[in-house]
Amino acid sequence: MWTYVGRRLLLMVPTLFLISLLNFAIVNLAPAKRPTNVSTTGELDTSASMEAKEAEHIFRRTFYLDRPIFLNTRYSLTDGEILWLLAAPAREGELPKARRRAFDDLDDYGRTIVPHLMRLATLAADDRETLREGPLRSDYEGRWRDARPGWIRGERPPGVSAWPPPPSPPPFDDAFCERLLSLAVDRLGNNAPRRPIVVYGGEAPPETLAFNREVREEQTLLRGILTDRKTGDREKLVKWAAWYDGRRAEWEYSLGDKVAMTLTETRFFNFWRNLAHLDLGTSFTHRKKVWDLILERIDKSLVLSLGSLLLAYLISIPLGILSAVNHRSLGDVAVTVLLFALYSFPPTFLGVLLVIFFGIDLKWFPVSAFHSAGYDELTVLGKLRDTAWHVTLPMLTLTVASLAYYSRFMKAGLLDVIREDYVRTARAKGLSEFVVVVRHAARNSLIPIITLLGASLPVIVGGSIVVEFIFEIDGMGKLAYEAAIKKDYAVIMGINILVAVLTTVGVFLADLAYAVADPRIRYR
Amino acid sequence: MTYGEIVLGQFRKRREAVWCLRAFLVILLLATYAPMLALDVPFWTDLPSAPASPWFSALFDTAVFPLAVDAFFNLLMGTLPVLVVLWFLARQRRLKMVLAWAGVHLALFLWILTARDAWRTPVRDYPRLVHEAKASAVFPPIRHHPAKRMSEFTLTKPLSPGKLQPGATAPPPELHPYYILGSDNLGNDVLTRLLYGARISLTIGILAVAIDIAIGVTLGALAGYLGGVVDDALMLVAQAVMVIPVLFLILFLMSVVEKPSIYTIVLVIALVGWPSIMRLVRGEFLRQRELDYVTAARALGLKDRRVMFRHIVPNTLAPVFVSATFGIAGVVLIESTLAFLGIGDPGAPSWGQILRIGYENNIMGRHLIWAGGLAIFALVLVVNVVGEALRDALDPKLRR
Repeated sequence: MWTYVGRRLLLMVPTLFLISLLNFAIVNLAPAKRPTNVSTTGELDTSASMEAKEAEHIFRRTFYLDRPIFLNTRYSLTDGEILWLLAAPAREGELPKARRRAFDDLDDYGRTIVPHLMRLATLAADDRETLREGPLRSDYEGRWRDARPGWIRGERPPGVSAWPPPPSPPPFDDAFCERLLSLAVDRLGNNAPRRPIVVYGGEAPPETLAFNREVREEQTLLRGILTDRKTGDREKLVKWAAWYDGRRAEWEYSLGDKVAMTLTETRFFNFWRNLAHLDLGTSFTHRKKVWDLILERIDKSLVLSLGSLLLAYLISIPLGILSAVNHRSLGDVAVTVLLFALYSFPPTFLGVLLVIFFGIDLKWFPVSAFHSAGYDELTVLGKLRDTAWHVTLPMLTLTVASLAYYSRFMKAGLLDVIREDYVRTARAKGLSEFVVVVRHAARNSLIPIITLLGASLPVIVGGSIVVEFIFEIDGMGKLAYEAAIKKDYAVIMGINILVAVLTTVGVFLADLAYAVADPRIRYR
Repeated sequence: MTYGEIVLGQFRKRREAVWCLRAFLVILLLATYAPMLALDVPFWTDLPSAPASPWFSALFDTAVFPLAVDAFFNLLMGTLPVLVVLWFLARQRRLKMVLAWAGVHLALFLWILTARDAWRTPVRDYPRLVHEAKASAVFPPIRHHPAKRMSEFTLTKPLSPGKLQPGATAPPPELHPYYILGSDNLGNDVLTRLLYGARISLTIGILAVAIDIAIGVTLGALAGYLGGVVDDALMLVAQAVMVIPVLFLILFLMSVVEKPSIYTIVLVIALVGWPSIMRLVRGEFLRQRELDYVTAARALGLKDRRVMFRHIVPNTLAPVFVSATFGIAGVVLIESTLAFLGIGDPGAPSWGQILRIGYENNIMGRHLIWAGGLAIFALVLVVNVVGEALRDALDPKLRR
């Protein structure tokens, strides 16, 4: 028995691993969302609303979308690569799409590329001869020939029908160097300062607070460079150089640093680390931790589904027994036909019908929400009554579908059992029909229902999307539905993983309960 | 008596199932011949500028029928009678004949798909043209297009002429549409949308289940026959898919899709549904691979692939068929639920969409609720009854 329990527990691990992997894959395969603060020329654009920016920021932070998926080798970026990306806005004939991609890449690299930017800016400001004659220029021209601006690769700009001759690489003249300097200094202002970590909902841990304090101090230090619009690029560069000299060590990687960075500063690693910390991320539509969102709503879904489950069992078990005892009688046929019809009845249709008849026409029940407006002022009894009043119609909708399923199951099970020898023995002993059916037969036919209970666990946790949508109940189902519409992957993923864990545990418990209830079953 | 004849005989004893099968065929026929019943293009007209039969040239015109599904069914209008004639002419080798017919039909369909962009003609409002030119024309009995928004009309009750939007200028009274089952908020005839929506429902149901069977049987055969690591790995994947509730998983997958179309819906539903069929086939394989006929086949030196797919798979198909029948009903339900939730192709007429519009306009739009809901219910019920009877007919214990 214990070996069996252990093996089953071990088997859960790969299942949950696979599900998490599926979620990871979907988030990373989904069309990438990008901050909208870049114009087509690759310059910073402040026209996007702050809210949209913040949403994007939360989304990208939750899934570490600024990092490579599996391996992070950004310590080995070269000056040439950064120069190529940095010069994209100054490149003649480059497509807006490619410019934007270069901008995004530089954004993603973050602080890693500060030394490169410092070197490039210094070269562009003071040492133009080296830039002109040195290896950087040949590297740049080599990239020009290899990658070439997008429109030569066949992505012609709109409206261009013939292929114009490829433009020649820039001569690295003074104008180009000035542009490069200004781009590099702008980029430094964007990439070099660290950003405070915003915690949505709940207390921030002390490390985060300490980090944020440090970041704020650094920002006050840099304020002169960051906000001053009058200072020229050269003066700014001098200030940056002074700042950079003090913290050069930060960009000197030892072998251990490199290995750690390659493996840990990736989306994949951070995904698993967050899961291990039970951190499901932050929802960008609600601006809250996904855990808090789920905890806020799970009670409504639980009331709804547990209630409907109880109701379904309370009706379906006696119904199944009666149906089996009076097999092929007129009543049985009528009940069977009715249940079969209900089984095929679309829950959407049923819910809508209940809303229009009992909610709108007769006004017996409310058609939306879970509580009345003044719910909090009610007494305990009043709260119960209010909830029951609101929950009747949705619970009915949820019950009908499962009701038909369970009672058919129950009837079939009892019909099997009732033909067995021990039931005949019980009858032969002279027991009353009631005792034979209820005490002897029905109890044994109840055992398979345990399995059903395990299987219906995901619905209990997840609530019902359809019912919560129709009756406008803020439960888990509606949360998942809205998240899917707004592509809030953090919420969807959180719910998926939670439901998967609970279902796996539920199926496992049901199997154990099965063994306890039925002594004939022996687990190895 | 062959096995097939026994099963057929058992099935025929269930009178309600036979009736439901007929009802299903009627729904199929209505869906196929929908353009003959409802379209706003005349069969024949003496308008000087129009083609000889505007109806015929509209069948494969992307301006009238943008969806490939409609082109498929429009082609079926022509090829279905051929199949019936062939079926009654050929007493033997009917299976081969049906397969040949299906091949020809598919080839024609693919050719039409590639060629029909060139046949596109400008959209014409034939009822208005005919009325203004005082020409004569023979229209299908219902003069409506499934998705041609009559923007001057609004939600209309059944059995009534079109009700105008506030402030819209009325067209001449002869051009007022008459709505047998009422209209939706965009002035689309509900009956027409029901007819064309049946095409979508049936296509999604049958295609998704077909893909499910293809994946499920292949993987189930591999898992059951090879066993060992392959079996463990495949079962693990199947379990991972089954652990998340179907609708949740579908919502999740749909949120990744940029622009949902009925094909992405088919794909997503199929991706979620295969594990049950796989487990079924795997179970059968585990039982059958120990039987003597498999040993005999292997002793003959047949390759594993041949033993699996030629010898064992045909013996496992009976429960798969039953599961597929219930699967179609399930997929139709899921598809309508998705449309009801507003996820899916807004351009394709769907029964769930009709229900949704009725739910949104729940004072004026009662007829929409009944029309959409009853249509879904009827199709699901009919398919479920057939599946139930099929299951009982295949079960030797229940033979009567």
